[in-house]
Amino acid sequence: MKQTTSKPDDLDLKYFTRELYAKCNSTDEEVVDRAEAEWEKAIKDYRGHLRQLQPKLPRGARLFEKISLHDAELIDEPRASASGQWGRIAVAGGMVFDKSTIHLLRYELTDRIRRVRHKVAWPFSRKQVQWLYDEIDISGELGGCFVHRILFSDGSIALMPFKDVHIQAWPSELLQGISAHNEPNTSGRRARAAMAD
Amino acid sequence: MAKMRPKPAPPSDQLRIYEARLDKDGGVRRVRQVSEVEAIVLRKGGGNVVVCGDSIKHNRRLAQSIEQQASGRWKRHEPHASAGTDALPHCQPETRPPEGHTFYETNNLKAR
Repeated sequence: MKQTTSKPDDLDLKYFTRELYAKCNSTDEEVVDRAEAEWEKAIKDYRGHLRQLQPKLPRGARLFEKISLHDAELIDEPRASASGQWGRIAVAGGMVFDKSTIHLLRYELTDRIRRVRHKVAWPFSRKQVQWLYDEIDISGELGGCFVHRILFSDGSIALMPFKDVHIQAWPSELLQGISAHNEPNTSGRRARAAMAD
Repeated sequence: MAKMRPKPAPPSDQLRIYEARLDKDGGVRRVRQVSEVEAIVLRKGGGNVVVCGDSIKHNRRLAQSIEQQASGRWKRHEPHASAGTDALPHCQPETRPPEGHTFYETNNLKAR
């Protein structure tokens, strides 16, 4: 697998940036007014970007247009398999999902996963890390491969370079046997196999 | 994030508060009109409410005031592109609980 060094510009989201998110939470109402207008424009621009990207996207990644994991709690940090071929993230709940729903995202990686923790101040809680906003893009640096950038509520950003992604949803009770020593049912065994990479 | 003390909300007859529920696509649906006090109780219990009106500033101020009284420390989230065209900005606790959100309408984004 080709290893690359990301440029600083690649280490933030392009539309829903950390800076814009912080401005939307400013204590200055005028700043918030401008930031919210900018955010609405960012949504419009990102949808245009996705429309252009759509024909090139692998089938699995097209689901990100329909599934919003905003507000989902991060329960398994972005990590790669021992071979580096696969990466995964697991989150629970979300704004439009019940807390008992777990989404497991498995990426077919084209490069190493990056987890960027900027040194600039982040005025929000670092507890209860949640999925805030994400973007799909093509990385020119990686020869036209895709990259999924995810901003979390602790201010960190995950960069998942991928050629395809598989998204599975599981009721959390199916996964309870993973860390305990219960014997799960058939669905639970499938879930456990998926989680175990 | 510790927030500023919200500015006074405008007269309540210019604004309407509703108990709300979230549709699967992220759109916010009005359920029934409630008072500000009822909205705070709903939020403390983990429910969703939405502030509706023509002025985004007034809507936002009242949403902040409700969330401040319901959860103390709160933050503002803007809608995401994949959350549907009717997703609304909202205030929510800095850390859970309570669950739920205080949504507010903007000039362009409205509750169903």
